[in-house]
Amino acid sequence: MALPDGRRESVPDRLRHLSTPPRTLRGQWEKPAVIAGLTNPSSLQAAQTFADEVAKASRFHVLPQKQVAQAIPNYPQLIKGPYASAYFEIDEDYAKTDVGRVREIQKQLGADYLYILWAPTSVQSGGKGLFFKNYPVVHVVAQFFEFPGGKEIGRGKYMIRFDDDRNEFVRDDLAAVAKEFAAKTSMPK
Amino acid sequence: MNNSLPHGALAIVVFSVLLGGCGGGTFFALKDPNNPIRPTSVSVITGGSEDADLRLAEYLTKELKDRTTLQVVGQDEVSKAIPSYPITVKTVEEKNGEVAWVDPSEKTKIEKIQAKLKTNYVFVIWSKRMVKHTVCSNRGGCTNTYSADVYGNMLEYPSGKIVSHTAFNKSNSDSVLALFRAKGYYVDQLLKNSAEGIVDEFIKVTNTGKR
Repeated sequence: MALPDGRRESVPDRLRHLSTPPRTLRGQWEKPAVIAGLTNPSSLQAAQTFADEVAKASRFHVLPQKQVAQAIPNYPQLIKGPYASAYFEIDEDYAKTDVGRVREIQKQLGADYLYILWAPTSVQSGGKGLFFKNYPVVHVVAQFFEFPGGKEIGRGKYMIRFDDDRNEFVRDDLAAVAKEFAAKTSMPK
Repeated sequence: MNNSLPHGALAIVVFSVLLGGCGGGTFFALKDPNNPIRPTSVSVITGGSEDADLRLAEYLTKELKDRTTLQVVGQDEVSKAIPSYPITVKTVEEKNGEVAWVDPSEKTKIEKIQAKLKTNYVFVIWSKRMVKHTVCSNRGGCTNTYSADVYGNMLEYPSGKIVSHTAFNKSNSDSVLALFRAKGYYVDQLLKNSAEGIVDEFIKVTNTGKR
């Protein structure tokens, strides 16, 4: 993917994570859940992969996705997300999140923290060569809520590559997000 | 060889494209024109799950509500009735993508949705292959053109028969005001215009326009 000035975009350029300052959570045995805020396959798969990577990179006891799916009827469900539009890029507007719905979901899950991610759009750039591969890039916006209270304590916006051949996200991208998430919540392994 | 005819024809084509400027296709047509339909209530569901699909369904619902005499189920109600909405509905594309039909394997899924929404017609709509094309001038400045293929099918109940098809391409370009617009403004306009176009034809075909 090329930047407007013609420079090729590297993975770190594309990753912007939690924008809140580092903070210490209540204890080291916190139980967060990672939830997809949309019903599309990208959001669901990103939530699954991110939950795995957070479990690897942090001391969090992440609720397994299987448990999430059992606790929330008809998971994944649509949760109105923090953006005005999301066609080729996300026009974020954090006031738009349906916080009431977020609270309902937390009640069903009983998690201490909810990391909700929305992957509403993916962009495929043109061009293909013998020696290089262009990946579709999925745009993600996320919010991190603390309970009880449902206060937003973090947010993030980043892009992750999807490997069409393997039908999965490029692990390194979400691993980098998870590593930064762990660092900024003072919970790295 | 007479060159005047091809040049004339080319001029007409170029003029038409400039005048229309935004793709073409079928906004709304009956599958069997000899079998007119009389909808009284309709619900719109998106067959895709990206933001553009949801917006298109919202705009089509609004256009139908505002401009027709039909009872139209709002997208909020659809979302409440079907907890896992939006649900991806697979399509079968025929004739090089000119016509999209609901995949026969998906009919049960839509039947279940209809049973909850209880409208006598269900309009399934998709926005596919959305493309952004950027052209930059050597004098500076770039223009973005967005285009999308819009597909739709209306199903009649209780028979579950597909009675209409929609298949067109729409495009829209940035203007000099792009700097002052929200990020998704031109795509939003494209989707709104698509919904308007569908309802223009829908009213002609079904004679359900508000007077």
